[in-house]
Amino acid sequence: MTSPGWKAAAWTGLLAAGLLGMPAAGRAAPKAALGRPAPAFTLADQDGHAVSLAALKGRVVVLEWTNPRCPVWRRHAEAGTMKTLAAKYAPRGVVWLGVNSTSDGTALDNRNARALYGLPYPILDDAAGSTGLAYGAKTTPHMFVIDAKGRLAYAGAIDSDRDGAGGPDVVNFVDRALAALLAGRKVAEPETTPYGCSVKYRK
Amino acid sequence: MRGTRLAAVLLACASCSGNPGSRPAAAVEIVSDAPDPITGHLFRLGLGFTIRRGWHVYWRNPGDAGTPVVVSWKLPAGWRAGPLHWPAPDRFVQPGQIVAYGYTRETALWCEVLPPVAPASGRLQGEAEIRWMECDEHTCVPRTAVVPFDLPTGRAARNAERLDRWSARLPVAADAPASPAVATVTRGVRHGNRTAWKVALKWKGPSRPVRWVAPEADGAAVENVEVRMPVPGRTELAFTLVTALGRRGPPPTDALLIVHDGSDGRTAAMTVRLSARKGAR
Repeated sequence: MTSPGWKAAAWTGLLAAGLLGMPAAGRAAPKAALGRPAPAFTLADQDGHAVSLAALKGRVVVLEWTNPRCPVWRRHAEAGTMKTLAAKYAPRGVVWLGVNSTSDGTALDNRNARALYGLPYPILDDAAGSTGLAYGAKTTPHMFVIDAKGRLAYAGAIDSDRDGAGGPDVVNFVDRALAALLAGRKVAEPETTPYGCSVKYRK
Repeated sequence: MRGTRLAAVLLACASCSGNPGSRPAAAVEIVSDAPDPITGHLFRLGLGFTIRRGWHVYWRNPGDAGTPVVVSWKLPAGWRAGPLHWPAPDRFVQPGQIVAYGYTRETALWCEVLPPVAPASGRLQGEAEIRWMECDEHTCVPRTAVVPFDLPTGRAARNAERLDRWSARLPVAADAPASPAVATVTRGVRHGNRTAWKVALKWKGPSRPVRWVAPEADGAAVENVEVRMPVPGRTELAFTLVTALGRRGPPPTDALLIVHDGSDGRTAAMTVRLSARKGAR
């Protein structure tokens, strides 16, 4: 039984050596494109376990860019927006993953956020920023939905409630995208402009 | 945050919220050139922001992330406030190629107030309710402030000077007589929410170097911006306008902000409306 510390250190070493097929942690990483295969990644969750997109082929996957220090993300965490949606679709096999690309974010931050807001899904450590850059994640939250064939099917805001005013007219774009994918339909609105704090990538 | 600094912050805003126990990075105060007494003529009513080093607040279009400053004026019946004026912001690119438009160190946002025909007391009492997001490179904090005012104060002349200084950064409409150039707009091919545009500027006086362009609409962006000076006296801009998707509400403005060197080398700006028919001049 290896200790989490050893596991994380070994995995980090592999990452640094570029052996896990991740794009270089630089500025030239191409952005994900709708309809194309979503960029691969392997990242450690808050407990140090490696989570790999490739292993999730055949499942619909939601990526939620996360920053517990962002007031816009916190507004949703307090309202349970993502948690509720994740719970709604978990019985249908949808995998929900938080990704934290904050440059000084830590696994401890992610563990604390999960505990504080009662989040049942993992938060992956992307402090190096390469997965965020590969997807073109700009805000927290910024949502990406990957279909069962591994293609990017939705990218953008969680919903239309940019100002946080709430109300019955709010449209949850991710809910609609998931419903469409699971019913075998095309996603009607595959791209929206995201809102939130900027992702705090490292320099 | 102790003692006199705390007192100063509390004086500056009757009720502030955000991060309890932390001082806002942006201090906000009322700036008005309301005359003494106030008569039936227009005067300016605004907010002066003084922002801690390393922090910024956002423009009407915050860019890829962030939230614009929102001001709501509470005025007595019969008094009307015009639209908010936004001086040209700064443009900064954060790691991850995240483009932001906003203000650092200081700025002023203001409107014109039209009093009732015969203002009874020559004074105006009201409130400004302001919401903004202030960020540094690590964190963002949402703030609200409710700032009461009782005008005139004794500072009309000094405030007028401050607002005049900020007026130099107000964008001038390209078709206004004071505009430094005549603009010709040509629309190119559109794919979904991406449209190619060309804007040709013919300078009326000396050519002014164009620094950058940005759409005024919240959530819109420009990509692949090219700036050429094919012949003296003319600047050609080519870019792709990416309009916001998934936004509900009234149609956004089609104005494009063009930030250029002013006659004194300082920041100046124009706006051009992107509404030409395809191929039209």
